[in-house]
Amino acid sequence: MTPSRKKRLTYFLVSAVVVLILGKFIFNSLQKNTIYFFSPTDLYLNNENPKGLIRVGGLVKKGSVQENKNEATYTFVVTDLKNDIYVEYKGILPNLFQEEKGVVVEGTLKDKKFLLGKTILAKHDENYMPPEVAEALKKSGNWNKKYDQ
Amino acid sequence: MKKPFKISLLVSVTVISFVIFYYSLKANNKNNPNIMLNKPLPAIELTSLVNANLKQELPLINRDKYYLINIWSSWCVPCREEHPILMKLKDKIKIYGINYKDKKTNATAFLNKLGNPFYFTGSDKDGSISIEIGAYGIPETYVVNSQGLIIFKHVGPLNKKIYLRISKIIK
Amino acid sequence: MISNLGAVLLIVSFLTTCSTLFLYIKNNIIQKSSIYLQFFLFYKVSFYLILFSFFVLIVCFAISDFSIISVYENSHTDKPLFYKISAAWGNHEGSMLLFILVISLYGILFLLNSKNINDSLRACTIFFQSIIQLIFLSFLIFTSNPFSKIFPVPVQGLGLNPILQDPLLAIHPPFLYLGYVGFSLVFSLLLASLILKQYNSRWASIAKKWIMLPWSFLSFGIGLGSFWAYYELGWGGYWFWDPVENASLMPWIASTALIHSIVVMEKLKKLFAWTAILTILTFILSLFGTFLVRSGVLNSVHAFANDPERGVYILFIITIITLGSLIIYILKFPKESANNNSFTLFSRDFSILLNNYFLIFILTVVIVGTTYPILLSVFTGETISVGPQYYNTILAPFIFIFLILMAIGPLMKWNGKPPILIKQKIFSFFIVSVFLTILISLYLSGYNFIFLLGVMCSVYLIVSVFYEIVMNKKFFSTKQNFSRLFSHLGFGLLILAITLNHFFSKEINAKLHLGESFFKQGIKINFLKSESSKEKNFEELFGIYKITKDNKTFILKPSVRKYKQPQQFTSETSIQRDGLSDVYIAMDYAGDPSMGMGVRFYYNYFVRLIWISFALITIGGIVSFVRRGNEKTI
Repeated sequence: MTPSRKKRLTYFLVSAVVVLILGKFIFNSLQKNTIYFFSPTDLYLNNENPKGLIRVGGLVKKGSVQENKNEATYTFVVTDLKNDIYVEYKGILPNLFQEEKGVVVEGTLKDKKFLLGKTILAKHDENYMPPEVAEALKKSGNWNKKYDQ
Repeated sequence: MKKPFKISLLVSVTVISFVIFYYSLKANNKNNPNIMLNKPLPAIELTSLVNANLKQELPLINRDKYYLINIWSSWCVPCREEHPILMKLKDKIKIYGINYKDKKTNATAFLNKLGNPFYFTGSDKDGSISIEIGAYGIPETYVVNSQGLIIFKHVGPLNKKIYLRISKIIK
Repeated sequence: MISNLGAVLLIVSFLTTCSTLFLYIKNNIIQKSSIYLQFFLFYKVSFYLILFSFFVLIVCFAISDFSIISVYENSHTDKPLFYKISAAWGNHEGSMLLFILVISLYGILFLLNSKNINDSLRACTIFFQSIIQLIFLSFLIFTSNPFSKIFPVPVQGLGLNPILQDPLLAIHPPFLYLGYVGFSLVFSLLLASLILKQYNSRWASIAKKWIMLPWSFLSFGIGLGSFWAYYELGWGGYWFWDPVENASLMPWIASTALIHSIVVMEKLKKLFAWTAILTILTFILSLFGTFLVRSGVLNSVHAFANDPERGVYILFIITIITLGSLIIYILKFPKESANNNSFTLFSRDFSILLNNYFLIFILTVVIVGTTYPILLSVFTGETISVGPQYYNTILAPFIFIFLILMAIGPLMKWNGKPPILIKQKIFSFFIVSVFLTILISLYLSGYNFIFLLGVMCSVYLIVSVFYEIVMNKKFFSTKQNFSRLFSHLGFGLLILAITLNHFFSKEINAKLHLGESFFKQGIKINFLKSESSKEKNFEELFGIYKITKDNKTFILKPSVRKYKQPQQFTSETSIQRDGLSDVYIAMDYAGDPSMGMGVRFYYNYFVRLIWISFALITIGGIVSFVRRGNEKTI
């Protein structure tokens, strides 16, 4: 092999190795920080509880919102009309949070039926239902009842 | 690398990327909600266009799963354009028509000539009923459910896209 | 009907642009100067037509002509005039018209500022610019016409959303467009030079300002958006790695690499391939960002109206432009220039090469984070989102190293001879930064390793800039130094501010009844009283809070607004300055006021330094093209 060709090969190999290492970094960080979305039915059907930060979406069940005044925590139920999940949320409820409207809560699962909510995701149109929630409702067969989406 | 090789590589990568993103649009399409309304239809009483003694109160609770309300008039050109779509819809769903600021003779002539898609046509001579239900202009079409909630509203003439949307909603 | 005039103007502009292209193709072989004059005239005409059409649209919004669908959907008679006008570009169709206007505007700016360039290059550049203009004009006229009509004419409009009535939000799009859409010109300039075999270091001198101008606007636009998010969204943060934010950041990163690359190309006649690829990449990323924001493929707090159908068109346009430009590049790139790419290890151009690699890596990280959810949804149907930690975790170490390189690089010389005293300089900067870092660390009691590293690296860069300012006796002579000094200083301050802000800001959530106080983390929040007021279209409930921190008192007045039409609640934040930090509070309407008001309190440490840094970076960019250098006639 000619010296210049050897040089090129070296450059190529070195860069390939560097790219692979960097790629692995990126991939790892991505996996660790990917937040999956579940509907209450997804969680119900899931055998193992997803670990880490997840998002759960559905509708806020009517009459389920309760406030614990002492600690500024709220509990409510998120439902896709087939299955429910309790959410305990420490924080302030955003203005767009309403019963019978769509919501996406980000938090960690205490167990299959209990989510410790960290953030409530709200969009700036009160009529807007997050697409993930819409899809989840469709899947649970409860689409046509009330919310046309 | 030779030039033709470079070009074909480029073209294939670009086309593949295009296809992937194209499918992402399709995938997202079914996730995207229409603007959800859920506004209760205000209570109104319609007097029949043809028979002044015949009245119809809306909304209807727990009767039909869905029904349409369409605001129209004979002098409105887009109403003429959307008429065929209303005729297609009339077999799928009951349509209550509100005849807006129109003369009885003109309205009946319109329906006789083009066909009557309406289960019931109410007369709104001064336009107050249309304002009551929140109409912005004509034509306007509402999809109302059995709980009396307006779940979909379209301002302007119906077109194929909206027709498909409505068909999906009322399945 | 004035709206018809607008539509007519668009169509005529379309035809004029077509004629411009036709003229160019037809007369390609003839090189008479009169042909060029005619050609440029046609192009100017098409610009004026688009400009007038845009004015017509604004007028239609200003007079609330609801016969036009976009006015009907996005305006309302009760809207203040300023917001009526800004609504013209606050919707998809209007903003596309603005998009095209910027393309055309840059073409005209180029025509006016290129008298010392040979006519064939000018004409070919305008040729490509016209093609881009035509593509988007067709898209506009056939799928997104801002002058589409509705009949009968509605009495009132639908567009009274209060969140969209914000001064910064109103001026944000024009700045962004003057930024990333502006890269269309250097893109056209590149293609023209490749075709005419004029792609060389003299081209680089010309092209530089056509990168700096949009880059400055884009930097400002991104800073503006961040600032708006900070005071409007009420979450105390200024950057969320939201896909829409990333959409504007990606072209910024690419164009920053391009700026550095083109300097090397001009001075040392190297990096020809890098510069060309980066130019194309920058513009493609601008278009890709446009696609992401408008097509509905992303779900974000502030994405435009979702329209997958239009998304397909935009995707198609991007594909055509990408293919076309890269094919020209492959076929026409001057091969001879690729041989001159040897680098001495300790030269300034080598450090710029390294810089480019770093920037490409950062760009890749952002692209992957933004598109991963999209790709995953296509291949597995899963819905995921990528948390901000992904970006922070992986970018932090690389940015720290990057800061050091930014400090050391400019110390090197272009010719690769290691300058005298360079080792001493590098070392003494190190000593000074460690010293300052220790001071800061002790003052704030901050001992976190990443915090210390971040402070040290950013201080290192800042120290190197100040050293150069103090030591450089030729301070006012060369414009280049000014530009680099400001921007690099700004970047160093930015990372320093972000680091301080990240580790020392405070967040307190509480629910308070009238008269109640809450004490946490050394801060006392006292809910003094509430006031209400009534405006034309909303009722406002104010909470008066007294904040006590370190023997300093602040009075804040956040509010909740209840709008009538459409019915909506918004939170208005209240912010007070504390040095370079902010005392910041937002209130949530938790139902019944007598049950207490929820508050989100933030102490945003050194957040004002972030805005100062953005401004410095932008000023660095402006300085570089305001003072014209010597461009050789080519």
